[in-house]
Amino acid sequence: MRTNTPPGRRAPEPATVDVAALLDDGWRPAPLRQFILKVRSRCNLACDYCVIYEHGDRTWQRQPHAMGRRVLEQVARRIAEHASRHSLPRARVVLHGGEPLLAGPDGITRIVSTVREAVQRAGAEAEFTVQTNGTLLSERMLDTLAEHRVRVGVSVDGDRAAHDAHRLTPAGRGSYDRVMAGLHRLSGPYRQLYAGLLCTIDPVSDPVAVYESMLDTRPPLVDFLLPHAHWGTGTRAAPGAYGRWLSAVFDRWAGAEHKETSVRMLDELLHTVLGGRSRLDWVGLTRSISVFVEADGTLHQNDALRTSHDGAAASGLDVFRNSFDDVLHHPGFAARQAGARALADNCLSCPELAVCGGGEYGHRYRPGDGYRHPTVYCADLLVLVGHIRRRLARVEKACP
Amino acid sequence: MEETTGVECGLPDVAGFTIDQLRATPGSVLAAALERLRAEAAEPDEDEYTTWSEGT
Repeated sequence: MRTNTPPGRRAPEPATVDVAALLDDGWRPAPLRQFILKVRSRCNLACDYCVIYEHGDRTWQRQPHAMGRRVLEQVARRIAEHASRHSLPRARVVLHGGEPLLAGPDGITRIVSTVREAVQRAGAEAEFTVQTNGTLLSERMLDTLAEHRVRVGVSVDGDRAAHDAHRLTPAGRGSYDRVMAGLHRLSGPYRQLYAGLLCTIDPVSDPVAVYESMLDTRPPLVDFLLPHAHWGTGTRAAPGAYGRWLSAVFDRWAGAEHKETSVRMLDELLHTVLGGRSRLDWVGLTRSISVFVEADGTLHQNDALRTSHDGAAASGLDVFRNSFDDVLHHPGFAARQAGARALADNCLSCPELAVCGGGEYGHRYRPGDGYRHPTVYCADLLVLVGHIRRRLARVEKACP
Repeated sequence: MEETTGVECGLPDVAGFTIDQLRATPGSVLAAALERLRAEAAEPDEDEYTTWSEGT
């Protein structure tokens, strides 16, 4: 196993898994299929919970504002190389930031064209999504995204009160009106691009009001996020509060006569409770197949690790020295593909192991002791999964 | 093949349901969930683990 991680940049905690031992035991990594490109490292909003700027990690301060041409071309070559080496029919590419649409229409054109052409030369297809705060979705930008078949996910935290409580401009004003203006354009004439909404949960908000407010633009998918946290930070509410919040959303969502939208977290938990396989890497015992590429070409693990300490998401790898195959053998990435072998003993004995899977990897962190712990949202997930099971049991009784 | 879902899909808590029973229940979220289970059983797809939700 080879990585280029300089010792000084390794996280101080013990590695979650021993990659050599995993390989000896027959474990083999799955190829990466999702490439999250930090095409811009800065943002035009100043959300108070932002995982990039408002936690322990200061990587953004060391990054160029934009992913330059040389880095972009090398990223494109590496994605194509990985697709070719593993005979992947497609590679999913997420334009991310910061705020990726600060690249402007010309920048988006350049990024998408560079990656798409390289991947096509390798015999695969690149599929693009941009995850944006929604403030820059002008008609010209949407025309560009439509021309290049880039689907659009928008971060919005529910109704005006919930959204403006946290998603602020640098001057401290709410961003709701600007976001909704862009969202109405996206969900109207550009509907074919609409990928969904991303909402970070605030447990003091009204869960049903937040969910229902998000239905106005008929999103194909709503994704609720637990605020990134770990055992050193604790969560913003008492254990179980997020679970009860999501249980209320579940009742409203599952109780509708017709399925109004996919609520990704709930869809995946429900599917896994029913015995299916999750498509979400923190639900069930799945393998994460994502990698983050910073604006300077360094390769990072998941953004959720950024709440722990400066450099926690770093791998020591970069697109100039390393292929994406090198990523697969990095302990941090391998831990996210190792399933039960990366989990804490109390997770392994938990009756909900197959559904929860230990929760989001970054949420398992305990300062000084690494990631072999249950998620800090353990109590919340048990509340929610228990609620889903009870709901199913009621349905069973109602059936003839 | 008889269209039973519980046993075929390994459903732990709703074993014994048929697709028709679930379609008849209020809340078509459940019916959609069962349809997905059937599709997954018929056509496993190893290429579907995603992390779309890393927000800005």
